[in-house]
Amino acid sequence: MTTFAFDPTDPAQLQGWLVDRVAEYLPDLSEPVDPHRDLGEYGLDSIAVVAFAADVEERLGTAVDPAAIWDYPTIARLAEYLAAELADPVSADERPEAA
Amino acid sequence: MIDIGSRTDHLEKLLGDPWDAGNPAGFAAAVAADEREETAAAAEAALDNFGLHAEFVPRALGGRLERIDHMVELMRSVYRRDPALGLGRGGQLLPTVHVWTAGSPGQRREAADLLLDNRRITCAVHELAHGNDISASSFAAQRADGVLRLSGRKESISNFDRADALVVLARTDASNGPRSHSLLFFGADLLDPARVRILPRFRSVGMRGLRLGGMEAAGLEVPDRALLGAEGTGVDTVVRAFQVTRIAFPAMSTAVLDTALRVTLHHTRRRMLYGRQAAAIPMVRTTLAEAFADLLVCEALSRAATRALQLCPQAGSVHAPTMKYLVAGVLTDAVERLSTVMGSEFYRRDGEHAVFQKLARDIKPVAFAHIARAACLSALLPQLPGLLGRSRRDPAPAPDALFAAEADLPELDLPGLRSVAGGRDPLAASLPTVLDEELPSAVRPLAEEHVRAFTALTEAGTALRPRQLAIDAEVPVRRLAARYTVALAAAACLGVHRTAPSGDFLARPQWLAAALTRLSAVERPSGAQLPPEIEDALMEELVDRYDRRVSFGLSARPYA
Ligand SMILES: Cc1cc2nc3c(=O)[nH]c(=O)nc-3n(C[C@H](O)[C@H](O)[C@H](O)COP(=O)(O)OP(=O)(O)OC[C@H]3O[C@@H](n4cnc5c(N)ncnc54)[C@H](O)[C@@H]3O)c2cc1C
Repeated sequence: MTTFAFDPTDPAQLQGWLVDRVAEYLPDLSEPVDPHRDLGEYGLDSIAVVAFAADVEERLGTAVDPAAIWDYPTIARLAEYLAAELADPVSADERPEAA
Repeated sequence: MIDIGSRTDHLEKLLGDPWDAGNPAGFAAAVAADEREETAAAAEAALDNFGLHAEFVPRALGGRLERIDHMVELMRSVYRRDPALGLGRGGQLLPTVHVWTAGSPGQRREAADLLLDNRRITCAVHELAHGNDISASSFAAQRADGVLRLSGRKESISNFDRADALVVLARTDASNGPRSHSLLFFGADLLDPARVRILPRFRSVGMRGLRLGGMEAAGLEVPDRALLGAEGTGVDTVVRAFQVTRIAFPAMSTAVLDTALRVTLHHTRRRMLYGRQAAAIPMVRTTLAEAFADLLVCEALSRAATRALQLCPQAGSVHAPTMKYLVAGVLTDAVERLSTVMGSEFYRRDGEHAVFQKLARDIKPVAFAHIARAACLSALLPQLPGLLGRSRRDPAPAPDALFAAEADLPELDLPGLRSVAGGRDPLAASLPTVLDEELPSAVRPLAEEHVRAFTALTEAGTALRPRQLAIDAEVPVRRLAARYTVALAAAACLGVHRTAPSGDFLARPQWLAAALTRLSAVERPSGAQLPPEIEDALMEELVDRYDRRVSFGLSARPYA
């Protein structure tokens, strides 16, 4: 498991990290990503979303579905959601029963 | 429940000896039916009699689906006789995996009851206008006071005109994005002829016994409760549930290569040329031995991927495109090469080998239907850096249960499938560890070569920039994803060898040496030849299995 130079359960610190990460996935970025702007407006397409989700999941060690990035479409909202997940991973695990 | 061995034996017995010209479910009947663009009625009746659709219904709902690997092995008995019959029936998985993944208890009950009664459900995802780009699908469902109003076209859909119910992917939001589509599940009795036109049959080169149909809807109304899963989750469910079918169909299709190889052996062992069996001509012999090795490679990866769906389900998003890319490619190439040694006999629509030309046509869709092989590389690519980075950081031997002939598996949990793996793939993670084990001397240098290739792949793959992974990825970058699939297959073969009981053919070094040699040839078409002693060992086993009428795949089980 990765160790961080920041506390990933703190939304503000996580947000700073995500702003840097997501920039890697955005085409033609001329200024830092605004954490309150929709990622779709930056041209984050569906394949990039998969790559970004896989990357964040791998680095944070918590499940990150590409769908979550669509449901929390700004970095600020995503950071809040992920920080809560990291603080209490069990509560997020509400799946239907097994097939 | 009756165990899988007894079920496959029973099904083999019901379907009978395929070579028997008088068997109404045999090869001759399948070929005759194919000429009429049908499947053999006696074979369909035997499958109904067996209650085949129960194999696709989870046990908790009264069916016999407990393990994907077992279901696949059983379906090989159908595919080996007639792939169109196999896809027509196995195609029941296409709609039902969505119901088992996202359906309410009532919807699950309804789908289960249909299948347990030998009836059919169809799965309408595809539109000719959009092909593999399913998130662009335009067939629409608009909300209007308590109903959903459907309009648009669905095309090239298996068994559309014979289904009692439908699962349909429909656009419920005009904006673009992964929340724009929803799945619907409703009875075919709702197809009001005033609001929907059933399209004429689509005619195909292969799989001609499979009825491909479709519909054009204009204001067709279905109730709100037809929604399968929450509104907007359609593409997400499809991406997760289709992992099962993208693994299962290529895995079932290994049986097509089994029959193609059996027919080629039948012909080339009888055919006398220049005073000896054609099968003894070095080029012919090499082709036979290589096809046998290819079949074992495909079944090794199939076993690992089907087992992983239950043992490490997070890897499904990686193994599905891997199976569909690699296994589909190896199978279609192998059948093609066998056709060259069949000579003109491959081109005949009559005679005792006429089934070969049918198989050569029927095998093709495994490479492009459901999802194109090229699209699989696109799907794999975004995950590649994470997968490779993690395998380097956390290498670990893969669990024996992925490979061993017998293994207990956790319960199948389709709702638990995920659309990304978070870098966790037990096959990739095992590669950096495979040289720690004892390996036969004939195998070690070959294994070292695969590990070296994987190390080089890891360096190249982890250095990729996120923007290089997009849909417009350059060809050399896409090749890295292809090399990843080869590495997983090598890991699967090593695992099957490692866990095989001593004395078993699969515990011997020859097949593994052949498999690893063939796999290094996938990315280098001028790759190494099988050494003569390895080819001898493979041919000896192949002919022995042929004479004993057992399958050529991993299980070497009795065939009728
Ligand atoms: C026998 C059979 C049965 C079928 N049954 C059903 C069914 O029951 N239900 C159903 O919904 N559909 C069914 N289909 C339709 C099937 O799913 C489609 O044929 C399939 O999705 C491929 O679409 P396409 O052929 O239009 O390919 P296109 O999308 O037009 O692709 C053409 C080529 O473009 C390239 N390409 C496409 N996408 C990518 C990508 N992402 N990255 C790189 N290259 C790419 C590939 O080389 C591909 O081969 C069936 C088809 C067949 C043949």
